[in-house]
Amino acid sequence: MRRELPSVVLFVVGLLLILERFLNVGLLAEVGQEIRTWGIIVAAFAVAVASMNLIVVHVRNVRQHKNVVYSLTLLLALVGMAGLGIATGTDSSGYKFWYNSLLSPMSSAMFAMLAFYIASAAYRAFIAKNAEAAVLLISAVLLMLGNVALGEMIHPNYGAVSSWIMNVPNLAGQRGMMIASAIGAVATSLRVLVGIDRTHFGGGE
Amino acid sequence: MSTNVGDWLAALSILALYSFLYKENPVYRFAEHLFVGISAGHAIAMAYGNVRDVAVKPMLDGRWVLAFPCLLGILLFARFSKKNSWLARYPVALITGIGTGMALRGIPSSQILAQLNGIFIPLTNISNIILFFGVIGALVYFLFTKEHKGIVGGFASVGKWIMMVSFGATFGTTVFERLSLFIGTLNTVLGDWLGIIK
Amino acid sequence: MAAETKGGFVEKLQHVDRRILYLVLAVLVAIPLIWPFTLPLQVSPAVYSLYDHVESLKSGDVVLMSFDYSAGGAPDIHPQVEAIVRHLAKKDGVGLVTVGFFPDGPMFAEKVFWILEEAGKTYGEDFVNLGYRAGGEGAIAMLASDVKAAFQTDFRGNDTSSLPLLQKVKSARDFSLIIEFAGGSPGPPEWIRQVQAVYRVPLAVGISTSMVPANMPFLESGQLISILSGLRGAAEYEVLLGEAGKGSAAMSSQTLGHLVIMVFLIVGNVSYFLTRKNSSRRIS
Repeated sequence: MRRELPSVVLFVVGLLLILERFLNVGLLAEVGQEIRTWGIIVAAFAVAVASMNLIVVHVRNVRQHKNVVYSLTLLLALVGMAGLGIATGTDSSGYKFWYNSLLSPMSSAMFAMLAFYIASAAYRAFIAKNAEAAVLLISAVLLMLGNVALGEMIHPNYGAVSSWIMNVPNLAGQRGMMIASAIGAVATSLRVLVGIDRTHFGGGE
Repeated sequence: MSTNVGDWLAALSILALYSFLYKENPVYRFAEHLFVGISAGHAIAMAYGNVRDVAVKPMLDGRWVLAFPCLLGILLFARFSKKNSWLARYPVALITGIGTGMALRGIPSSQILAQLNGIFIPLTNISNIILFFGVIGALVYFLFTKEHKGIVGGFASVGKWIMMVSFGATFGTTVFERLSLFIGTLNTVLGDWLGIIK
Repeated sequence: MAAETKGGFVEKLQHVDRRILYLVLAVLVAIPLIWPFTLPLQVSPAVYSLYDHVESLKSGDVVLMSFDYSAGGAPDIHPQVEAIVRHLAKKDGVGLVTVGFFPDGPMFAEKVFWILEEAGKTYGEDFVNLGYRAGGEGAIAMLASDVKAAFQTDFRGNDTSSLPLLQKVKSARDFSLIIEFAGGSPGPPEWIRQVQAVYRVPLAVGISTSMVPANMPFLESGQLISILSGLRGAAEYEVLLGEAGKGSAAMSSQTLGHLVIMVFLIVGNVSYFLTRKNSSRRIS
């Protein structure tokens, strides 16, 4: 019953939301809204659960005197930011100061490092070892020329080339992949809905 | 050079992270842990706002039924207990049920029918021919119930080549995006902090 | 001897320290920011489409903007927001409601309100920041069916039923235009499924550049009226506005950066194939 009952809950919730869309019944619309409200609340708690894992790992590090400075930094930053947001509100000037001075720039820097890894990979790893790779690299270069002014320096109408690549072969490939993955998503969702696939419930009884 | 504390914090934290590009070092590790802590703290603060506005305030106005999803949310923490982790299946069932329900009611019309509609075009020029056979080829490529030989193999091969162009397009645009992110950090360091960029 | 020397040089090319590659990229991208130069920029039909839609807005219309990106992707997406908000600031009587389904969303909305305040617009009457909702696609559907039920208080703690601008909107149907700025999921597919397909409101997206190829089918099928492609989309919109901004300023850096990557690709491939040729010559 520890797996069957949650599967029933999942099925009922999913079915109600599907019926809401296709049947114009006021009660179904109200039930759908209520379900979504509950989903928002539970999703908010899920964020706290994810952070809990982080806290558990780093508190353990501090207790075991492993990387104490780094783990303490993380824990203090977490508590400080969460505490400030909860106490003063996330729209307060103090909160916005720390968000704009630390979180925002550091987040950008973390992702921006990928630019360097792409440069290194372009030099060492992106080799046209076969025809497929060559096609990939040629289309990438042709598109890159069109994304910046380099293409227009070659020829004033170069934009038409990169535009054609984007709107014809790329569109064809992406559309095919979109339809195929959508069919797969529908199949998987149906399997989850009727309880054939229960991996999301984790292991154990 | 800026005298604003915020600009100094932003620039020094960016440079601390970039120091990893030279080699792993304690300054980078400190900045990395600081970043992870602040990110998690921000997520918690925003999530708290959701619970306060969507659950607590309405409950204080009389909507006590919202105590139930709050209880479900608390049950999520049961996953940390080996004995009681099964309790976490209920909130997971709610979230997964919402996800599958929302997906099933939207995907067929938006991502299957509307897209299939787009391939019925007159085959009067080379672009339309490539579009039509490219989509068919990409679809056939993912057909695993029939061996890719003969006509099926031919279509799958067309699909493979078309998808290579798509992947190339994705790579080309990814290069642009990553450079944009780097330029953003340069604006902070060279512009806001050092004042070199006007 | 000449072949060995050539082979040696080519093999050295293959093993250049990656930190030298990083330094070359960093310096060449930084130079145009310090000494900028302008380059021609063609505006795409998709950007024209959004510009014309915004230009055609009348007094009393309300626009919804959704901020669905994190700080990590902001440098590529946020300049588009600034350009479009500057356009909206010039439209008398057009309201703006902002929302976010990423935790960072409302923070970025707050960052652009100074443009509206400078144009004499007032919070609550001309623009409102609803805030953030967890729950992805479900939360989007909830907002679309009843805005004030989804957000009983706004980001600043005001009761949404007391805000004059929100008296004009009950559901997604009441917005004249919806623009989603996305760096991940929830993104265009979720908004199309839950909003555009149900309420048939004109929907445009401003997305990170790497997401553009995968979302082209939605533009071609008419489910989206426009796609703005990252920083380039911002630059193109600024051209139409006649005002230079962060997008235009970055294009010269992008140009040199792309040139560096392409040179690396070519040199990397050439040195690989020359090394392979030399090795097979030595073996035979």
